[in-house]
Amino acid sequence: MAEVHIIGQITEAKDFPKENLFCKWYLQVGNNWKVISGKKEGQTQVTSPQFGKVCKWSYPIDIHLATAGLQGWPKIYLQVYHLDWLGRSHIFGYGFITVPTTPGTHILDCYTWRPFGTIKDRFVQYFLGGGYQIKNPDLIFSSGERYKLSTEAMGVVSFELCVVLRNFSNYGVEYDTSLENVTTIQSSETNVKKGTTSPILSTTAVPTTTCKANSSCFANSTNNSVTVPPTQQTTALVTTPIPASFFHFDIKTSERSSKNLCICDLTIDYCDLNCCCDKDCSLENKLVFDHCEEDFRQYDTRYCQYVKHIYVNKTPHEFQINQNGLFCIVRSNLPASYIVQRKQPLKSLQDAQFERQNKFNWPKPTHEDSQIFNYFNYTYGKPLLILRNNTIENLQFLKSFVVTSCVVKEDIKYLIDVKSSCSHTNISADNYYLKADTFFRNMTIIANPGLLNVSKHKNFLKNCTKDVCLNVRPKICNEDFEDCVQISPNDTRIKSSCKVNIANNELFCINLVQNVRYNFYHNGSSGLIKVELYLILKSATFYYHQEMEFSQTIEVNFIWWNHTLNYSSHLSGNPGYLVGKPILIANIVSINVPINNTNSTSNATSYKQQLQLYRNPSDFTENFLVLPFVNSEGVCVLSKHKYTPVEFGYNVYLRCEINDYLWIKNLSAKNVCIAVQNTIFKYWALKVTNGTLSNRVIALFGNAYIYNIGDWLRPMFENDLKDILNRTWGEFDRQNKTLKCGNITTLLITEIFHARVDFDDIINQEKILATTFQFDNFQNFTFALNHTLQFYIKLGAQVMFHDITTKKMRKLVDPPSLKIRLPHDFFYPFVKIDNHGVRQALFMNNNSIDRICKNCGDIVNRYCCRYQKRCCEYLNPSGCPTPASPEARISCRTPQFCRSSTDCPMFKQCCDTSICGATCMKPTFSGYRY
Amino acid sequence: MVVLEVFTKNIKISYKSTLLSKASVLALIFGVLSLVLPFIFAYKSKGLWLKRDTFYEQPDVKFRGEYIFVATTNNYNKSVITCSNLPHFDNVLRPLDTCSVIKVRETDRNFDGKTEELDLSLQVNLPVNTHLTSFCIIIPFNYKLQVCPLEMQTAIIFQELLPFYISKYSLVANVVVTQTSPLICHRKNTNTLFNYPVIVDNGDLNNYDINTIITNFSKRNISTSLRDVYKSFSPGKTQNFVLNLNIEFPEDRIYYKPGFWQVLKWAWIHTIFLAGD
Repeated sequence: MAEVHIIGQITEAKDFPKENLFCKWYLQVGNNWKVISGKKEGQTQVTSPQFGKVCKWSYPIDIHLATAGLQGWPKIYLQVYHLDWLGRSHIFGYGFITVPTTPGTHILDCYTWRPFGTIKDRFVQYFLGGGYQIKNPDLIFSSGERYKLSTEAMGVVSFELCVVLRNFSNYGVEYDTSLENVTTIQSSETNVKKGTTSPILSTTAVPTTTCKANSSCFANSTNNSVTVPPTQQTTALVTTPIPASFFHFDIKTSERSSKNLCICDLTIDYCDLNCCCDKDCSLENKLVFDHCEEDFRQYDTRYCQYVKHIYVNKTPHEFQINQNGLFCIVRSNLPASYIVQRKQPLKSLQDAQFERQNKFNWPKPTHEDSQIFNYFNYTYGKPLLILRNNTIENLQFLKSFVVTSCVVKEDIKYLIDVKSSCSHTNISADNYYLKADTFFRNMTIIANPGLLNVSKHKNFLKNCTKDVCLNVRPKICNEDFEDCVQISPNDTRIKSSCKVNIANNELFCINLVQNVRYNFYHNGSSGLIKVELYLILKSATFYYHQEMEFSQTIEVNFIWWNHTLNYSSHLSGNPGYLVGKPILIANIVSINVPINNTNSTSNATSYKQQLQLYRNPSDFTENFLVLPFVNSEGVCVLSKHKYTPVEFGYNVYLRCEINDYLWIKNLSAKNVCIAVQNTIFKYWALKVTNGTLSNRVIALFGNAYIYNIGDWLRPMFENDLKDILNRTWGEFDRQNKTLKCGNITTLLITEIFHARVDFDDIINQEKILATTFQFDNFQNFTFALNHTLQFYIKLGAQVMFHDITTKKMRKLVDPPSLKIRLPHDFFYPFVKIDNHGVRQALFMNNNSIDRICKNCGDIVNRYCCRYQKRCCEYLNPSGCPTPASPEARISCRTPQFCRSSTDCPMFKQCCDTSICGATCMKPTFSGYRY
Repeated sequence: MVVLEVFTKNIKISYKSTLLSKASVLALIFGVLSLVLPFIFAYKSKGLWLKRDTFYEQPDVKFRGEYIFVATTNNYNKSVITCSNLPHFDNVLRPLDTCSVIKVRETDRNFDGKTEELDLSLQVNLPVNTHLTSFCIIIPFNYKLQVCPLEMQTAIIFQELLPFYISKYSLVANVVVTQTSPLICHRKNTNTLFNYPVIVDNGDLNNYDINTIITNFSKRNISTSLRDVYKSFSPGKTQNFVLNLNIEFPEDRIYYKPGFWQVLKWAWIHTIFLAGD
């Protein structure tokens, strides 16, 4: 009989979710096995570890088995149990191991599992303990039917078993007897040990290269030893052209070791001053040195030993520095390293340009090809061309830059309006830009470059037709471009000239060009059609002891042909006001509109007065809100051309002085004062027609339409102008030499309230919501009298813009109100109602309304009153008569509420379960019951 | 396939020891140290308690409509020009006032109810052959903070010497707050310590003196000043001197003394959490 000894122990259980474990084990053997001695099964003690989570059992196993065959080799199966704090034991795992078939000591891990219930079971198991157990423990090691079992992994139980086999070779079972009774540890360590000895490298055939510290490698081969020189000196005196391929050689530059370098040696064969390491300097030379130039070598001072170059007696020395600091590096165990750096020269221009990217660059100047004349049509922003002395030039104007004097020239560009002024400092009749001729003489303006046909006529510039080369006809105007006179180009009246008056040290010039205005009429892409030139000439006196300056203004306007632009067509935003744009105003005028009287047979047409808005298109001040212009002396001026527009969003405080006179013949003192006040109003651009100001309206939006009165808003006044005029008082003194005027207002306060509103999808449009005019600073004045009344008054005008935008809120549309009524017989299901109570209120005819009102007029309750009113609204839209009877009147005023008739006083009934009434009428109309 | 680490979990290692053992004593010492040391570090590194803190806020600024402009000229007959629209100013200094138009716009670019930009343009009329040699403009405005409720009246003060003929002077600058000590915040009480006018307008000539105004202004603990000042001017001889100011009111950093709960919050973070683990 072959025999097997199993000696060992169940050492421990680990990785279980809980401690307090014990284990039942059982040795399972086949039929032809016999236990000679030892126990086949057993149970360990309960172990509760204090440290860690490993339950150490150390349960001994010692079994002697005898067998006649290998079938049914011994297996140990085990059940691990947990003992909870109540003393109950729950299954914590099943598992089995097969006893190793090789002799020796084995450390075995038995992985355990336990059955796995439904979620509910697991829930119960978690809180209460317990769980599924296997009814038939054979299942643990039998291979059948296990697929139905769902399990979860539990911990590991470790075994340490020593197997001793005996007499197996007698039965033909062979095993390595040399391993008999030899301790083997079943672990991966043995494999590692084997691996270390196996790879033996054969070194004989492979030529190896050895590299030395100076980084030059020598190939050592047995047959021929060739040493490659580390550096290849390319010393070639080149007199022939160098082939291009020459530069593609890898030229190794000689990099000398840093030991011998002398950084301050900058001249060959010459002793550099204060350069102690210069070999050209003798010791005697060095005596003259004051100090030694600094050496820029870097030392790695982290090391305990390093070499330092220092100068002793102005001679360089290498010093081995030994520092015995606490934290110095004695020996570095870092792997050998080298510095990767760019030292190869760039090979091609492309490489160089690639490297140049994102680096500093001087910008290259770009030349605009303005000199090349092209025959394309004008487009927006193209320079305007002129023909002067048979050459084509750009039309230019002088402009100020930084300083006010004319310093630069700029092209006049197609469709770009210009208004610019600068001052000339070179005053003489010869100054080109001060002469009127400059702007029109010998000059034609090319209507469109595309019209010039170069190929046909060689001499096209001379034969330029008048519709291609437009002549400029100058007009001379007085100030403000009024009263313009057409002059012929050869008119001598516009010739400028200067005269020097030495006695007074002054220069007197006439006909200097002060203002230039070009009006170009264009037709879009087809170019210019007509050119107008307006000039304002001025004579001036200059003094030599002062700086001479003459200010010149040039204005260029591009106007669509056949379109006249007036002030009324200017909008200040579309739709909302734009910041900085003027505020639109209009005047209400009443006009007589003829009415076609169809009834009357007579031909006489009658007129009806109708209010309309009117804006004078030629006058800025009648289209926009303005304040007086303040000239340089601080005097108020208000005319068609001089004004200060009130710009949207800009708060203004303006102060100026009026300097005016009045004829006072045959006027009473009060009337004179009223006239003074009226003059003040005039300067505030408040037109007093019929003594009222309320004929002025202000546009709500920047695009207000003149024929839509809803776009305009009447301003609000604290006092009407009439009141203010009436409030003034005036009296002459005794000698009629002075006039005293009182209560004259000198301050106009305009407040404009605006808010941002949304127009569907155009958001934040500024809308004026109110405008108020207030007058303040009422003062008394005393004027000296002459034939005329000359007066100086200091005026003020304030404009304030107030943003009164509130936070926008999106409000939902009210949900549709549903009127749900109970069926008419809900409360009185057994009372029969005529017509089955179908309410036909919508189709009430007059008769039925009559009937309702007649009947309900005397019915005393609120419903009645309400319905009565409703009747009235049908019959008499203007008002509702009071109920006829006094009782009804009282009850309508004080209704009494009830739930049932018992709540009501005697003889009264509860009608419609809410109001007490005298009688509950039989319904006279279907739907109403009282 | 790439293997990713999708979940990691710490291993908890517990060391156990009996009560009277070296390990327990050592653990106790280190436990105490780890509790005490953070306090010591926190105390040594600028204290345990938060002494000041900052917040960022864009102030609510409202132009008061007032200004005062004082300039000197090279003209002996009219050597000083003073302009203002203060109510009592006119009675005193009206003859020296030659400013004609002042134009102001407050812009709220993002529609949050706070002014971001103030554009001010002042036109001064000058006699012939006169130029300004220096000027000073003071624009009082109301300044309001919400995070730390504060209302004060402060001013933009700008002074400049002009060496030659200048027709137009433009200034672009930011207004920032300057503090000499941290603000003391009360959530409910508005700090109105400096809510008094910069220019005392009572008709006393001395109060319109730039020197007086600036001396009084500089005594405030919290005030405003111009920063990032960019100037540009166009030389030229005109009878109108135009001064353009473009002042921005950016978000500003204000430091304040934190309240009790905030101090406690930081002390908590400094110490409890530091000491906790």
